[in-house]
Amino acid sequence: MAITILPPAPAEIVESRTTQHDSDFDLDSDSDVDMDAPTKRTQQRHLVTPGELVTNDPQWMRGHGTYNPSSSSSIRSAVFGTILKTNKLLSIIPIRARYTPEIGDLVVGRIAEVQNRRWRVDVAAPLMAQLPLAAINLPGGILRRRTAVDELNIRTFFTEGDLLVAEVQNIHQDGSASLHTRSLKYGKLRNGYFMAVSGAGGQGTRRGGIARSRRQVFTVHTSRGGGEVDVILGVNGYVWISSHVEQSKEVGLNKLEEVASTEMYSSQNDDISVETRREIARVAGCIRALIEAGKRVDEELIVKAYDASLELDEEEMGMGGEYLGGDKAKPGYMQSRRHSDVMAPELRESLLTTHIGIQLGGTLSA
Amino acid sequence: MTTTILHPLSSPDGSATHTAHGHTITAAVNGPLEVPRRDELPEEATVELHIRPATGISTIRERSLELLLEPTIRRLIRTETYPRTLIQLTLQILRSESSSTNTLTQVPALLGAAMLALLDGGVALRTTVVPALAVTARGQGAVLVDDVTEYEGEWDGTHVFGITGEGKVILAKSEGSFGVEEWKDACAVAVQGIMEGEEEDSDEEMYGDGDGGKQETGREWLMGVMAEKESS
Repeated sequence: MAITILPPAPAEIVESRTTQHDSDFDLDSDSDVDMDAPTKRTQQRHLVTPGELVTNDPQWMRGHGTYNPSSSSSIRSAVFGTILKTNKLLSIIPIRARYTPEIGDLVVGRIAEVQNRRWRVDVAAPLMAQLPLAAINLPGGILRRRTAVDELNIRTFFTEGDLLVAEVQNIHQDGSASLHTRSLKYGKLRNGYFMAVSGAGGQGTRRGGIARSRRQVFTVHTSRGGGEVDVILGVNGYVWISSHVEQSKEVGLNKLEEVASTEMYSSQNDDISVETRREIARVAGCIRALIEAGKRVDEELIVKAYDASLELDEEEMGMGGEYLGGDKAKPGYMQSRRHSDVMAPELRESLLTTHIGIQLGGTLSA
Repeated sequence: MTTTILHPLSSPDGSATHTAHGHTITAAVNGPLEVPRRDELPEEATVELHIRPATGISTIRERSLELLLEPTIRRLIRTETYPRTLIQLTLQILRSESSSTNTLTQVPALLGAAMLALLDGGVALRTTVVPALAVTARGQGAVLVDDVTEYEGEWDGTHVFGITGEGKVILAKSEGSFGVEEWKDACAVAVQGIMEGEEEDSDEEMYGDGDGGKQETGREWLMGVMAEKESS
């Protein structure tokens, strides 16, 4: 058999990405490079409506967000969104999606219900997640068996309304998740601020949001006497921002029993200084502004946004930049309150354009 | 005037405010959600539709509208993809300009708002439905009405249709006096109006996704709405 040796294929010409269409990534996961990106974002996306014929070609496989009408091999769209091609797999990414749990996800949740030997936790998924009593660190050591006393005292660990950070351990047949907090990283949340960033859940959503596979628990060093602020980005769109509590060091497995004490399940907040609270609020504002701008939310961008907001605050002294996102930051809100505080929309705009170095597709305050 | 605001509400999964024929409706979709055990269906999603009037509490009038729209919407949603869950739709009537007692003129606005909210919420659907309102007068042909509050002329029969992207009629409801021929005429006018998008300025055709060449205008319009929403 003759063997032909082919010259190596020339390297793909990588178009240098300008910041202008940074967010316009083409939804073709084969190549992350957009060869002919038009400048207007609306023109580029091919939106499909439910029932629309995506293709008749049998070479394509049907992925999420599509369906086969009976007695036909054509692929039709089931949701309103954009087409994603992964090799020969066609799927439609809806413009907005609820969070779907996957094993290993770090989630922030709220206890909705206490049941016999387990809790039901709201994690913004279609179905409530469950947290069995056996899947938490019981006080007095990780290796202790749960006892009938623990079952009776279930509310001393978590009670209705408590917030916790956990990992998805298992997915049941119906898509509901089972959580665990069997690590010192997980457990009850206190000393902080909870915010829900809805609609960005689910992987592959085009519009930014919280990304999986990035660092989700990190510490932001704040200035102006705020000290260190911990941020937990749950993949489910729930975010926890709290004042950093120094953990006692050299926690080995042997010493775990000391740490996993009843204190771990305390609902009592520590004293948090006004400065720290203000910086927590500022970080929250940064996250809200990032979400509104459709940016991905991760450590890098949060830190950049935080620094940018500080910088702006120094430039425009006495203009209190607490409101970076949400209704309060919309134009008109401030005007209706106090005339001197109209900076919020401008701040957000310049914050997200000049300082982070990303051009937005439109103005934030539109 | 037919106007639409996509995603006016932040907490529901999908929402839309839609004005058509003088009725302004805000629709909110939540789902798939946890369903109470007694409503749970083992192989499909439970669909709940609530219609709330602008003032007061729901009366038998709203109940009848719910009964009319609920089966249509349930069949529209691919319920088999969400077993043992709940998809909840709430349609709040914000304002009704026409004081007419004709409840039927509300149906296109309600259906349009529900459809847009479902699209916004990313719920899996079989097809896209466009509502249409046609009127007939005895002895005359049918007219597809863009805005009933601006329509000048007398009519005897009011006809509401829900037309899919393929041009199939999945909802038909009529009121008044008319004959079979008039009804057929109204139906044909509605299908034609939606599929061909004769009136370029009619926002109703925005969901039109048939195989006709005019479908792009509808999509462009919808993309315009999306772009506006994204920039806000």
